Amino acid sequence: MSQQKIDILEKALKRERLARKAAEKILEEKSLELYQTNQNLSKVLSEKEIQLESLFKTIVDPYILMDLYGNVLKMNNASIDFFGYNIERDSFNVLSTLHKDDYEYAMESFKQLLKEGSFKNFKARVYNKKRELKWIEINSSIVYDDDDKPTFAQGIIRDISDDLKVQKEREELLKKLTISNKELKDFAHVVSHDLKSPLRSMNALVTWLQEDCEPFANEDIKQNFDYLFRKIDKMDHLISGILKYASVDRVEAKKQQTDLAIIVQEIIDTIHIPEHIKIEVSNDLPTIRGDKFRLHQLFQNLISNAVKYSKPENGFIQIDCEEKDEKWKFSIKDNGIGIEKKYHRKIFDIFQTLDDSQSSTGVGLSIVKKILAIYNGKIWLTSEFDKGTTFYFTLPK
Amino acid sequence: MQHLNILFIDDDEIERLKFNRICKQSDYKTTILEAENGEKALKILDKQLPQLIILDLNMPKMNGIEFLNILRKNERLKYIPIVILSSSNNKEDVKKCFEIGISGYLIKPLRYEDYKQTINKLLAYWSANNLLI
Amino acid sequence: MKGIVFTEFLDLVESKFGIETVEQIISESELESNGVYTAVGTYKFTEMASLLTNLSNLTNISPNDLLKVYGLHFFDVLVKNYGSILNMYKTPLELLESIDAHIHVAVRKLYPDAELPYFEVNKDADSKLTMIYHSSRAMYAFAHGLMEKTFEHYNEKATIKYQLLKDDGTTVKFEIIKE
Repeated sequence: MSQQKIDILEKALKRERLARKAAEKILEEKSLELYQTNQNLSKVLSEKEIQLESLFKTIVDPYILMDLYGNVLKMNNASIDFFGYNIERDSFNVLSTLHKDDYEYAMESFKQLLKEGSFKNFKARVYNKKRELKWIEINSSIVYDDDDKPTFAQGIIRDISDDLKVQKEREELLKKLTISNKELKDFAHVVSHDLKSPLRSMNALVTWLQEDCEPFANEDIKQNFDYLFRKIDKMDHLISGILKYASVDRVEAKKQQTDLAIIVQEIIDTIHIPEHIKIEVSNDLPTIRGDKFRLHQLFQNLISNAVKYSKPENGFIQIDCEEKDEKWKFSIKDNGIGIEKKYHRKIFDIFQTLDDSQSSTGVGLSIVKKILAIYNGKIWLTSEFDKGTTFYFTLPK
Repeated sequence: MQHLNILFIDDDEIERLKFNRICKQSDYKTTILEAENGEKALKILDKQLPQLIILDLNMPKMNGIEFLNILRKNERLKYIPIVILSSSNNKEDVKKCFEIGISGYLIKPLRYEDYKQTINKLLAYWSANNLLI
Repeated sequence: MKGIVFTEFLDLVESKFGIETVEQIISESELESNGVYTAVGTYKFTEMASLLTNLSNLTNISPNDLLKVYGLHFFDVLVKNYGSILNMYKTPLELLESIDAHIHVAVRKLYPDAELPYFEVNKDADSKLTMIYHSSRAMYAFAHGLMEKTFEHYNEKATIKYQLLKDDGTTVKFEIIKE
């Protein structure tokens, strides 16, 4: 071999050696890089695991992770408590807990879950390990792998057995209340008719007596007949009052937007207002949500009271309204005879009237109070003897 | 002036007295047949047919609506005009009565004077329009 | 440019023109690496350019012809080292279509500093593909060689035409029609 060739080969060999060393160096660098990346990943992974574990533990609601066949893979403490099964001891499939009537719905919902990726407000009945029946509500979602294929399903479970029980109890109570209300109304109806029948007879008989006694009736006799008639009338009004009072339902009637300005105007137009009495309405009477009929009753009773008890000449009634504390505060003011302080509570009791005249039934204000109670409103008054009375009451917006 | 034969059915004795007295004191010629319940009324109707029946709804044993139904189903009796005189203004009662078929529904007022007026108006109307059977 | 391009190049030169030629072109080019290349290293492209130019002068073969031959040879290197990727594509056209979107993407994942050309691909028909080559290194002849060998590997025949869209060869339009 020529020296030239030897030289060339030596140079090539030298290059190869250097290339090998370079490769080894690169290899070492890469190994170190790999090691560090590994360390970082491990660190991040354990951080994430700790976060997940603590999240898992702190979720108060039962949480389960399952495969797409219902086999539970992961449960938090709350779900172990709820179901009574622990996957560390025995395998557990959610399908086995379902109430048989809810099975089909569960299958349908699961299809929907797979399709949409999430499913909210799934309600069904399940049995726990102790075979106790519970109502649950689940919000669930699908977990996908890197290729976007569904691999697991997870769900957060809410035990709504108690909620449902409470709801049912409320419905029962409402039903009972409605029935008892109707019974009361029917009773009042029957009673009032049965009581009125003898009154009619009495009126007829007293009339005949009066006719028969006419030839020899003196002033006393005439006056006694008068009293008799008045008392019979009064009794009639009282009975009517009871019927009205009993028919003020405690059960909520339909609420609609009611314009109080229109109602008050209706009342002023229809009830008899003597000429010497002037009524002024402030124009800001609002529209509120409520039962038109009851609100009409409420205002009518108060306004007709004001008319009845106002000053005989130059009577003045003012109806006003202002906003206060998220409610409406109304006032009906008259300049009439006033009400003594000692009666301020009593007048709201049924059958209490400060007026002996036969047309007063003593029921009006008690009906007002009953209606206000339904709306959680309050009523009170200020009054000065012979100067006037102002009734204040509140209604919600 | 026509002679009015009226069958008055009411369980309350005073009500029957009232009706009788007012009819007698009125300007019209009337013959009042009284019955205190549906059974007795049917017995009377077996023998004679009045021109008008005045019926109270609220009666023990057979109530007014039952009686109404029996009358309306009876071939012989179903054309007699019936006026209800009742203490009840119950909407359902009124509706039911008109569905079965009545000529009028009056509510008993409290005061005797008002009642007298009502009956007199009733008599005036039926005198003018009465059907001869 | 990745070391493997250099090492395979020099091995090819040695087998076709002899070790003396290798020695010569190394000493004639001013190489920062002094001609020491390892397949896993990374070196400046300008070194390749120098080696290529000097080889061309020495052999009187145009650089592009040299590159084409190298391209045909380099395909086998790819098959040896990354044959599994090739098995993912059933036809040569499928493979060529996927170079930019899949193959080069995978290469960059493994070798983030790899310098690769960019291809604009258009499937004109079931058997016709248009690929526009973009690269500052203008090694389109190398790419041509790779393309031809691809069809050979799948035992298929095709006509590959090319047209320089820029005179310096940095943008070249290839029309590949399968027979």
